[in-house]
Amino acid sequence: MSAPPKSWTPTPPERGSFPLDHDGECTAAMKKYLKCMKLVKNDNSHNCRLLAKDYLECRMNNQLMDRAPWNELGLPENDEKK
Amino acid sequence: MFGLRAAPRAFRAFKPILLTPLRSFRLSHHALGELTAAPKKRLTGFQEHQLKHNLSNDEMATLYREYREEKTRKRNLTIGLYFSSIAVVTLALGYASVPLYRLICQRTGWGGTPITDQTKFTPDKFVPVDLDHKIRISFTTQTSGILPWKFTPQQREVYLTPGETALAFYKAKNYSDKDIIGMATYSVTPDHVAPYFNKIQCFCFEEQRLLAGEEVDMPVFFFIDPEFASDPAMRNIDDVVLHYTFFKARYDDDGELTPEVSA
Repeated sequence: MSAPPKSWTPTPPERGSFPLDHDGECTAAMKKYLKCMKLVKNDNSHNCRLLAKDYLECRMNNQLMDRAPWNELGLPENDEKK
Repeated sequence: MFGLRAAPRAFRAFKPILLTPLRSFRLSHHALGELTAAPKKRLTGFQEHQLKHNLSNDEMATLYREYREEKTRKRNLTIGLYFSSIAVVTLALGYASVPLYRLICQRTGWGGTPITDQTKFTPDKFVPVDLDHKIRISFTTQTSGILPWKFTPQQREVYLTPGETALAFYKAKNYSDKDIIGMATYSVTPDHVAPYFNKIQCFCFEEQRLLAGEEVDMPVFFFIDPEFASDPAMRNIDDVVLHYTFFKARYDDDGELTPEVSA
């Protein structure tokens, strides 16, 4: 590796920051997702991604995230859900 | 007689004669006599002045000395003014640098105010790439020494393909008895993977206030740019570390969020 490392500054996230879930409204969805991930040994599998979608849906419903169409978040649309 | 009043006049009169060599100002007694009798020769300014005002050589010497002193005084004053003005400008720049820096940061959004562009990631970026191996993203944390928070990742790693979005969680607990504001920043290693690591939403760059004793979950929603797969430099990368550091922050007098580095 002869190229010197380029100095890199952290860039802000595309949609900004997640507001904190102080009331634990989406903790249940989060725990389901984390349990799924443990089962598949942290592989980003399809069913876990659906649970991630549920978590984000919970956030959107509780004003903890701006509502956005699923294709902009890289998640499968609702009609594809089994 | 040749006191302060004379000095300015002498200075004014002699100003153009600046570079005249010293020895030429005095007329010898003989030369004085010659000049009055002989036809007019070309005289220096000093000599003209001496003749015109009918001054003796001693009077001329005094006048000339006063003239030099006045010139030196004026030169010293000019230099003094120049240097003190430089000092004042430097001092002003030092004071102005803080609001100037803040202004630039707000305009460019660097190091503080995030400029978020929601149209940056188009849906076509979310096509999973056909890669033979998955990339392992590990999560590590660090907290500033003065931040009484317990900050940990809730999963050790995530295996994913470029173009696939993934959700990861961190957990933070404020175990002190005061409400504390923290601010997080992140880094991605190896450095050259960083441009491909795209975060859709996370908890960095903005204040995160935890009440005393509160524990909260912090999600990170991210993906690796599909271009990663077509970059030859990324061929051997299959391990990426996402590292979050939490600093203690507070609002300063101007209402700006600033990190605190010492208790």
